Amino acid sequence: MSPTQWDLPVELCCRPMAFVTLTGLDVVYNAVHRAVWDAFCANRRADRVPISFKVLPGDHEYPKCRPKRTSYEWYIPKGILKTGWMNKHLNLVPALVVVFYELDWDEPQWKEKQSECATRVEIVRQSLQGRNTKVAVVLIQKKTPLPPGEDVIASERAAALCNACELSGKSLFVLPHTDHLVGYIIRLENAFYEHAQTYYYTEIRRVKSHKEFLNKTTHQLLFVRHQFKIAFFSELKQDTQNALKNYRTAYNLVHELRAHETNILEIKTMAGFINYKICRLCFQHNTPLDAIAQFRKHIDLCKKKIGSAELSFEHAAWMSKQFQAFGDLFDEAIKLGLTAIQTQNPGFYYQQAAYYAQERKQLAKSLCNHEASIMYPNPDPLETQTGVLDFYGQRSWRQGILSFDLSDPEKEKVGVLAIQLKERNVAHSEIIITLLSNAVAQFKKYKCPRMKSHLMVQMGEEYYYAKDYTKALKLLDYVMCDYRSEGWWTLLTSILTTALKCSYLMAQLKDYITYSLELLGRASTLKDDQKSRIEKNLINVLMNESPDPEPDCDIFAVKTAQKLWADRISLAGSNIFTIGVQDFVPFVQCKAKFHAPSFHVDVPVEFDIYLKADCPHPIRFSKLCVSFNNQEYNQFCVIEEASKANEVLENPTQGKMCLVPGKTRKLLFKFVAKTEDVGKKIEITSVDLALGNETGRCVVLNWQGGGGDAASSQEALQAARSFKRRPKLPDNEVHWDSIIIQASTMIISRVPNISVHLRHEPPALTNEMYCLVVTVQSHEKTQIRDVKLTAGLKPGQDANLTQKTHVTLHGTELCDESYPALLTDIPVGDLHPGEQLEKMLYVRCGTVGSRMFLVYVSYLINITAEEKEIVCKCHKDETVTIETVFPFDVAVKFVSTKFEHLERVYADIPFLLMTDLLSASPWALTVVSSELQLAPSMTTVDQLESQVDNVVLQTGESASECFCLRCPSLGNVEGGVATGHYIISWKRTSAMENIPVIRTVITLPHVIVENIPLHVNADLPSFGRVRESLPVKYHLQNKTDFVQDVEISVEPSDAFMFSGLKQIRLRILPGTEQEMLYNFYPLMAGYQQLPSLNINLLRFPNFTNQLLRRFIPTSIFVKPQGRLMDDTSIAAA
Amino acid sequence: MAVCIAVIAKENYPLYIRSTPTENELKFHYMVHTSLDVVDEKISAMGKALVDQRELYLGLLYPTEDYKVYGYVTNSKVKFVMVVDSSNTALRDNEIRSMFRKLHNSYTDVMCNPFYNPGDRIQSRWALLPVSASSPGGPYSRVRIQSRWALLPVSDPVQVGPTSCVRIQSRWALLPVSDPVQVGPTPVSDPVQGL
Repeated sequence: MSPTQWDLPVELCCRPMAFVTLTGLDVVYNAVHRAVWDAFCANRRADRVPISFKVLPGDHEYPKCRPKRTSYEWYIPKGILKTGWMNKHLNLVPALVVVFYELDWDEPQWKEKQSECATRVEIVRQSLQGRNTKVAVVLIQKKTPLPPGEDVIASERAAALCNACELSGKSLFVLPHTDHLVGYIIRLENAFYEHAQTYYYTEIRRVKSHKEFLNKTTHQLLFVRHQFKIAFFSELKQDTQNALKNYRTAYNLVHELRAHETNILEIKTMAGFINYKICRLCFQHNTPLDAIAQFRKHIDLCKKKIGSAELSFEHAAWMSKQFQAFGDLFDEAIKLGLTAIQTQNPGFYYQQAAYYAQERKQLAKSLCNHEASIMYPNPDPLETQTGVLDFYGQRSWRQGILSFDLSDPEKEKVGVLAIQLKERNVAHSEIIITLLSNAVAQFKKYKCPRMKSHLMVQMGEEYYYAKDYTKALKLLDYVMCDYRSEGWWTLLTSILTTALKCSYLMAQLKDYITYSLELLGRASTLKDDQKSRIEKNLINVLMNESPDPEPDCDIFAVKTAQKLWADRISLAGSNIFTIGVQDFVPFVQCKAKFHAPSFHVDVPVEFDIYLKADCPHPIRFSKLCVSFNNQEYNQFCVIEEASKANEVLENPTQGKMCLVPGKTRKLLFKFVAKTEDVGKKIEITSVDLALGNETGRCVVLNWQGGGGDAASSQEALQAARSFKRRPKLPDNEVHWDSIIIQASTMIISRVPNISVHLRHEPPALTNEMYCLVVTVQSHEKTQIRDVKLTAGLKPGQDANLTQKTHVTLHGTELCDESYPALLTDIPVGDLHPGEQLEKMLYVRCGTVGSRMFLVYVSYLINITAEEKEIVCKCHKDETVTIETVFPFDVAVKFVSTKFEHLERVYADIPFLLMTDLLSASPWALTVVSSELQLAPSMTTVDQLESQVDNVVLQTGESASECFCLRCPSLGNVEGGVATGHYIISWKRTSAMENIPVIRTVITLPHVIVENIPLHVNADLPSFGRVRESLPVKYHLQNKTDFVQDVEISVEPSDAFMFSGLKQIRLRILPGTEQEMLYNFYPLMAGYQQLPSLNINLLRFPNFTNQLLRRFIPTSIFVKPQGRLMDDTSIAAA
Repeated sequence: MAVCIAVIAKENYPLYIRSTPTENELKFHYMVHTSLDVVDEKISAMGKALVDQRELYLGLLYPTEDYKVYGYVTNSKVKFVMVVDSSNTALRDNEIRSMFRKLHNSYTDVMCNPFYNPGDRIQSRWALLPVSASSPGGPYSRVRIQSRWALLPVSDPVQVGPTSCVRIQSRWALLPVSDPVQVGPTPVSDPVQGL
């Protein structure tokens, strides 16, 4: 019994192809023959006809044909299918024998050659006696043949040759050995293929013809055999549809056979073969569902046909093979383009095959546990004379016996024993693992990660059984995290248990400890007694002793393991194992929690480490240390067994190293933060808990950050969701779930104990030296040193503000652009307790708007915290928002000498510039002086003296000035003529004497200057008196370079009588002036209209009276006649 | 009837698994776990479908040689997986559907339990459900009562302690129940006292 007993025979699995033998080719020594043979063999792609060729000598002996049976009446078949049959028709009995012969049509010795050829054909025919095998002759010719019909000799000789060889004309071929060899060969091949098909057709007919002789009682086996043969020949004929049909019939027939324990194996074997063929053809026909349905049917039919109970492992092996073969077929079909889906892919079949292989192993284990003394029987009952069985699926010791009764029970017993003993040597695990790994590959392809994990677990377990613990561990370790991350604790526990066994048997210390840790943890679903055992073992290991063996381990393996453990003990070396817990669920849980999210630097930083053990018995730990991002703190946060004085305060010293199961242990740590860490985050980077001691073995559990393992985040989420009320616990105990990890805290500076006050008078005025008085008072108990003041514009505001804001300590001088916006670290000195100091700051704001100012006072102070002197830097800052406003608004207007508004001024004619200073400041302003700086184009008419010196303006008050100016003619200037600047020097009235005066320069508006042809001005007194003469003199100035004709008329007025020229026409020479004198005599008192002077310029028609009225008064106030005579007025009259 | 029933949380960890042949529990655990592959695939495939048109019943997840595994997913992505013996031909799709629907109702009842924290493993006597459900119909009505009963989680120490009994009872009184089963072990004389 070979290990491949259950493998399907090769001839079954291959694709049957027509078998054609070629004779008369000397492929070794003859180059031409070699070329012909190569052309047949090489490049057999799918487009070539399916033929398998074989070169044989012409006198080859083909299998003998048994004499034809004339009657089946007395014939009793001995089995279903002979083992040699398929091979015979695939490789031994040809459908066609081709005789190659070198013969040209113009061969001189034609006769001799012809008869030699005929002899060769005859020899072949001899050896094929009784078979329907066709014979064909191929003449290898050197010359290219002429087209058919043209070569008379050829057709004659061909006919003669056919006659001589007893061949039909269709079986004679000519192969010219020319350039187009491959083309000729392909044509030959096709012709051979036709012959072969005819041959198989006749074979099918022949087999079918037997049918009528058969009867159902004695020839049941033959029904199956014939049906199978027909199907097989159909396949050889490449008629797959009929082949499938016949196989299906054969399959049904096989199940109609009477089954008994003795022949069940034969039936199953044949059923398996036929099923394989059907499935194969279904896949080939691209009907995978048919294939699957057939397979399901097959399995359902055969599942229960176990056969002999003593050999039930054979059934399992067979079942396994069925699934595997189907999986292979399925996989092959996929490779050829079939698409499988997640729920229907070859993986399932491999998986099932593996399952049956496992079952086979189990059965074999229970059935083949013979004692060592039982020897393999001699003579070997499994030996046959030929070395092979005659029929598929029969027992070697009773071949061909169809009786259901065991004729020789003794022989049967020996045979069974032989099979059982052989089965014992089968490497079951290897088979299982191969199948599982096939399945894994498939499930990986079809997106089944969990199925894959499951199969890998099985593989791992199988490796464990096969004692390959390294591989087992590797696989189990690989999948563990999948189950852990999804929280399937039951499954994880089962995997861990196996892994623990592996690591025990290999004495892998670290793995052993890791798995123990997790099996003791809360994720483990082990019973308490199991946990106790594991914990005891773990403690043993930590004390450098051997653990007890795991239960259910192989006794021999345990022995080896015990030796290994003993070696481990004696072996000195690294006995400290650091195990990172973030990837698993150990039995100690840890949470770190700072008491506050931030600590002042003068206060000790406090945090708790909470520990909880989930193991069944209390466990001692030897050391706990906490690491921080700043490693300098690490030294303060260590608890060690040996050391006595420690930072741990709350817990009673004895037993604090002992973790009681289920109880939360709180350990308080305190340390003083470094002053350099002010403003930084202190983070717990890891917590290390050492179990065991360094003299024995030591396991360091390492939690990253503030604790937490693979399961804790989900638990925390659940705890957060929960609204369950927790039972009350004694004061110093807490609920584990209610502890939230806080692994980092901020160190912030000490709270300052000083007061900073700002005194100022907002708003600030543009450009003024705004005074800000900072008062710092110390409330500290000790002297404070190194007080520094930083003041100015708060950084981070608009960049333009920085340009336009300047800060200085000296108010006596105006600051310019070079002064900064922020004064930093102005040393102020030291302050004694209660002492107060004042500092004046001056701010100059160049633009309006609001600004934030910052006053920041820092100082150093010596503090004692936790009996340690530290220098703390404290600071206090004040911000203030100051609005800057314009101190005043300046309005400027141009008016005529009559105080009438002017849009433009007239060249050479005096006008008035009026400035109006309106205070917008809420505080009183002192205008120290004002100054008018005229542009060169302007001239002044009188003295430019400031009229507002030392005027104090309250809010809303205004100060006006008036200057009389004249602008000489400049011609037409685009955009007007610059007037000059108006400079106001001012300060706050409240400002101190030494505060500099601010000069605000205002650029006066440009003015449009226009020339006029004639300027008229009048000389008249400021008032008149009733019935007193009022002399008026009009000056008419020609401003042009022409002689001007002027028409003047005076219109009478009711209020006046007058003397003078009433209407006149005169000429005024260029640049000269004409005077007109009138004497008005007022008749009425009051504000009276003067007799209006109308001037008409003949040259300038648009010089209107309207314009004229700007220059000359139109009315005058007339006083009534008084009692007291005024001498002067009389004199004037 | 089902041989194994499992309730799987949204995050794919088991909330509840019970199987009838208890000797090979692990096998069913693996079976349920591996079936999640198909469930995941089905859920992601129907992710695009409109929520209200979504079919909760996922149908047969995959057949094994001896068992059929069926799936069902609630709108909150809690999955129910039911393993049925392949040989049991009495259970058609419709029966499976109605079993799932009843299971869903029972699950809803559990969720309504004020003492149950969603996401916790279900450890109530509701556990008996798949085992006793020999035929869809009668036993289920009993199961429903049992599941109401389950609102008093047996495992929780709080609710078992004698001191907290009164408080629970008063809460209990708020639930609209008329069944005498729910009267509980110690009837309350003054319901206000507990509140």
